[in-house]
Amino acid sequence: MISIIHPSLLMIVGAILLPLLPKVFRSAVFIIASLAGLIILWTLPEGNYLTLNFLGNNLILLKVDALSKIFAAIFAIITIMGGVYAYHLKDAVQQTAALFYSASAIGVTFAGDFITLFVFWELMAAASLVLIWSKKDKASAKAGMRYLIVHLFGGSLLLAGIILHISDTGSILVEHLLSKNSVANWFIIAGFGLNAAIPPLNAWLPDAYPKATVTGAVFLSALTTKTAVYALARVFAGWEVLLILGTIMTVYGVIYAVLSNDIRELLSYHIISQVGYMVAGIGIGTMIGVNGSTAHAFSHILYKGLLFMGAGVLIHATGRSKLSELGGLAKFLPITLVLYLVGGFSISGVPLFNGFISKSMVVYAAGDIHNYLAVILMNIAMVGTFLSTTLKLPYLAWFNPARTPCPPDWRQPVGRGSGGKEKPDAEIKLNPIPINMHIGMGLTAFLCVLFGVAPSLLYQYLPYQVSYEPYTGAHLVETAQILLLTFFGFWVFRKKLAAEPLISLDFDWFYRRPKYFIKRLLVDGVLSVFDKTDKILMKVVNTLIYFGKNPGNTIAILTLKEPSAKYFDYDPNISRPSTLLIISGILLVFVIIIAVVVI
Amino acid sequence: MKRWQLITLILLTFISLVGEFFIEHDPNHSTAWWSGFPLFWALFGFAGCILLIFFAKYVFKILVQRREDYYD
Repeated sequence: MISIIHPSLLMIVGAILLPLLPKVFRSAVFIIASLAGLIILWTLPEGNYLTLNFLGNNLILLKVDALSKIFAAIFAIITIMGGVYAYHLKDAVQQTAALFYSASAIGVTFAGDFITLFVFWELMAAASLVLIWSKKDKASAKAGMRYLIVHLFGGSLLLAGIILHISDTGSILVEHLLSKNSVANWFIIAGFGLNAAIPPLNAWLPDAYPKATVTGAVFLSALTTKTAVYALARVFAGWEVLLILGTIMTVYGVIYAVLSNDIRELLSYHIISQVGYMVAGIGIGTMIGVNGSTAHAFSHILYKGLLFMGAGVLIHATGRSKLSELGGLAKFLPITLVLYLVGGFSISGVPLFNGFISKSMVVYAAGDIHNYLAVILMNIAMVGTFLSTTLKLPYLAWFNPARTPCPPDWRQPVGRGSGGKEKPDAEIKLNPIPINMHIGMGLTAFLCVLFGVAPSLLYQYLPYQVSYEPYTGAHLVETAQILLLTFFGFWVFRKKLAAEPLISLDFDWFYRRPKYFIKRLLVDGVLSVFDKTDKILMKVVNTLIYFGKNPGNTIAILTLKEPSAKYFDYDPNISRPSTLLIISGILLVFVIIIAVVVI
Repeated sequence: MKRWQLITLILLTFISLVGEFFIEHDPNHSTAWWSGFPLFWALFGFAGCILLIFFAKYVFKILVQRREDYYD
């Protein structure tokens, strides 16, 4: 018993030591700590360990079974890959946060009780927030604040659910919940669902991830949503609402991705779409369904990490992230293109890549329960995934005929080599790419292909023993037909997909737009009343002043619509008649008074 | 597109289309009656792709896309 170490604990110790080490060792220690975490968790025997008594409850810090092990393993693997990709980073804050984040995600997967789960859940939110704020610009500061508020809300839902659940049942164990009449369960599923980005609780994801740091986004893309998928699989397998929402998610994300302009926003919407498959698989709840979700989470973390790494290289090299501002990079970043496309083929489910062997499992599970609407929608989502991630994004970023040839001075310092000709991007130069970024991508791409070619490497560790063979003739033909004809559709209408500098409203409208109305009502409204009052008063005062200076102007003031200063200064032509009138009037009054007195 | 790329693509498409008539349908793979139509998935891919592009770019766009300074 003594020999059991919690892998998260080891990684947290690493994270705490990291900032104390000299700069040169930090990246290496990051990788070693996550590698050690992976080795430890993989050698853990199944069972419950590290139980401790807390306020009369027995906490189980380490509950190991097939489901938690495979999820924890992939979290550790992507942390290693991300560590290689971020090896050049000299920012202890980000490195510590990333390691903490990953350790917490692993902590969630091994949590045997709801209290431990909740603590790690919140640690994860805090650590991931640092990766957004580390970008240190205004957009990320604001997006990070929204991310924080939304996740605090999600955490509150979860906590409320847990408290209700404990008071209802007296049990704190993380176990399969069945009762659909229990309010507690709906609170918990909403808390999990927020982290899984299930609409309408999805908007935080495409809002925050594109604003994270280049390396931070790799960890973000892998951990938060997939821990939620794990939690849903553990607790809510077989809930039909998840099948419905998951299927909607697959298409929802894809449609937004067609419209996205920011490359990481496009990829973020594809996270929602891909997580939709996993949520749907959990909703199906059969053994093959849960297996499919688990396998797809495993594959997804690899290829989505790879795609975010590729997008990160583009941003690192050009300082730009919008498709409407990118183009013609094929000559400069060919390796990145190839590695990105490995990720693109994987997410699209091209045979021999790892998406093919896992996504099809979920679709198969939906067909198995004769839910053909789900099958159709999931296949539509596959079409859209191929269209946006694998065709549109590389086409616009690396080729984009509207922007080729790429200005030759993208590599030159500012102001040189323009040669008098008009070059729209003359001010841009390409930053050099650290070699470790490509190594990180290469390793991840290798894993994507490895599991695609040899699926049994993954299948043997899935939670249930079921036989499933992705490489059948029918399945190959079906996939090939869908993807190839999608390509032709894309090629015919590729001009229609040109990126436009617009943003897409999502459910974040409901908490971002009211700010505008409230500002108009409470700030702008009050200010404008104040402003108007001020103007009117000043006008009155000015008029009185000029009246006081020269009462002869009264008529002029009353007759002229816009009394301006020049009419108030002495002008015989204006003042004479009115002065005459006033004096005549006064004289007349005197005459009348005298007349009255004398008579 | 370069010529060899086009030829490869057309060849692959041809194989996948013709291949359908030579493979036997997986008895374990339970499918609906309509998916057995010849070339169903090819049509599905092509039509689905075009539908997605036009739905997103002409309908959904009007509903959700705004200027970049919309929230500022």
